[in-house]
Amino acid sequence: MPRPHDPGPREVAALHPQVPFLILLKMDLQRRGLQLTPAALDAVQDPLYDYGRSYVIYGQGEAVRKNAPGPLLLRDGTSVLVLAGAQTADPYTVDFHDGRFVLYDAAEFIDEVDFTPRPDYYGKRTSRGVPMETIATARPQRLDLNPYRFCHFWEGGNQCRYCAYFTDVTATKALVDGKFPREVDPEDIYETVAEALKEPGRFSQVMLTSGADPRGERTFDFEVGRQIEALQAIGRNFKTRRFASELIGCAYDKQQLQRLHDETGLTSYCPDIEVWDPKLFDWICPGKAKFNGRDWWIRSALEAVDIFGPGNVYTNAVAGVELAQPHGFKTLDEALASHFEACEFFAKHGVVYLSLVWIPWRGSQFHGQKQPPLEFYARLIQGLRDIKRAYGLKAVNDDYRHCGNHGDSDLERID
Amino acid sequence: MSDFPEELRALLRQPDTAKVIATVGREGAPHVAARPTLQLLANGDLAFAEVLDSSQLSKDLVYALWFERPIAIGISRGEAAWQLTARPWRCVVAGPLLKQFLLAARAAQGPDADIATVWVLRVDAVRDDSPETQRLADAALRPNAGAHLDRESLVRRAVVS
Repeated sequence: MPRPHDPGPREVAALHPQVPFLILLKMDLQRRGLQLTPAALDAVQDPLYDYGRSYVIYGQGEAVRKNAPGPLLLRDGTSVLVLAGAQTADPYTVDFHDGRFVLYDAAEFIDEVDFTPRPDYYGKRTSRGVPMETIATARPQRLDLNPYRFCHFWEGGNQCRYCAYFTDVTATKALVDGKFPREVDPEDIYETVAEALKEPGRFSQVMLTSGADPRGERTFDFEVGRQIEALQAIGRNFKTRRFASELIGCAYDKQQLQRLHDETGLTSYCPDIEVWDPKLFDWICPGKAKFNGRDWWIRSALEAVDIFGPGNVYTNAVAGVELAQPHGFKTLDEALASHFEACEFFAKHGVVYLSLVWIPWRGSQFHGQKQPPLEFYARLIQGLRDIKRAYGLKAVNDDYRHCGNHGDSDLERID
Repeated sequence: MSDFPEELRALLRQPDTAKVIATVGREGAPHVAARPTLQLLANGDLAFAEVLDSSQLSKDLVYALWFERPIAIGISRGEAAWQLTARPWRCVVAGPLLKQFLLAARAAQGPDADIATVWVLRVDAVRDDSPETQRLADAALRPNAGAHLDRESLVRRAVVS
């Protein structure tokens, strides 16, 4: 049976001439995923691209057991974290011929693409024998660390309903000789960052994120303590007090935020609201609702502005998930209105609200749900960009070079 | 990809050659920027290092790449001058080319020198824009038009005794 018509980037760009084709292509790649042809998979075994063994297998699942490349790069320099394994029935395809990677949508040539070059520290081990690529992964200009690789929201089924993080620990462990403890040794973090910084021009930001850990005297005290240890370990590599960094974490109270600011070199903080509508927040993010509710998560972002400064606090929304059924919005207009209300609210308080494309991952409770069409994202990112511009906010941390996940911050490149 | 005459290749290798890039951004404002690191790559593309994503040139190049607008490049040294039409083809944020330009910047300016990106430009047309070439072309097209009649090579001066 032919699949229903799903307007792609060219059609949507014609309807929305202010949104560039390449941004629409990126968001559509995020929506639909990609697979590699055998030729492309062979080509990414080249040392320039080889990111090593990965639990993310590009292409045809179990049939393909080769090393994986890093994030896909489009010609405008933005990157696409497309965790393939074909999450959808109609992924894009990357082929390799005449010495270049080329992107296809079925039989249609789309554009020349590339993959993020492998960083020099990959393949090296810390003095404790831990593979450094299990301590930190590399985006084009960002070093990503997970000091704690477990989310306690999963205990009792309180994980966010769209989330599939930490569902692949068994596979990951198998690929790194079982050296994959929940908690990462700060010394391994220190050594990995030190090694990564030996490569000229490879990184301009460090990002930390972890699974939620609400334990402690005050909610999230354990998590905050761990983040401080990790940030202090990273900070030993720098001569300056502060270094370009972002912490995507849970919602901390003011005292915890002050500790992060005063005891580490952290420059920006991002507690993700995920879903703005109060009822949908409670339904989609039961862990966040339990610890300690939507108002707490909002207040944390606002209080962080007093500490880190306007424009240095972010919050992400998983755009499209508010349309999940049976409780989600029934129309795209309702969903867009909710995002714009959220963006305006946060912008008034100096918080940068960013959108991510929702992917109903395998392993998540929402697997099998229908994604909104690409045009929804075209309308969304234009609206968000216009609101933030009106408030003089720009996503300097979560821009195309560092994160690459946000169509709305991409649009700011020409402002 | 366009053919590069040897004279132009040589000019691009000279450190004192003026290399300017002309763009038009989202608001339609023209902009010209000198970029001394502009150089020819082996595949016939041009590339240069850009220090800031926030520069007007960066913004205009992103705009031109996204919306398929051409840019102009002027290359000149002394009487030699070339005019190129190009498209921003790729914004390089990591990898060997970025490293090459970064290390060159650090060798020239010291270990704290930095760049944000390397822009690769795909050249569509190359034109000799030197005054002499233009004059000869104009003379061939309109041999008796336009030039002032009092020029030394034209006018017969009466000898006053």
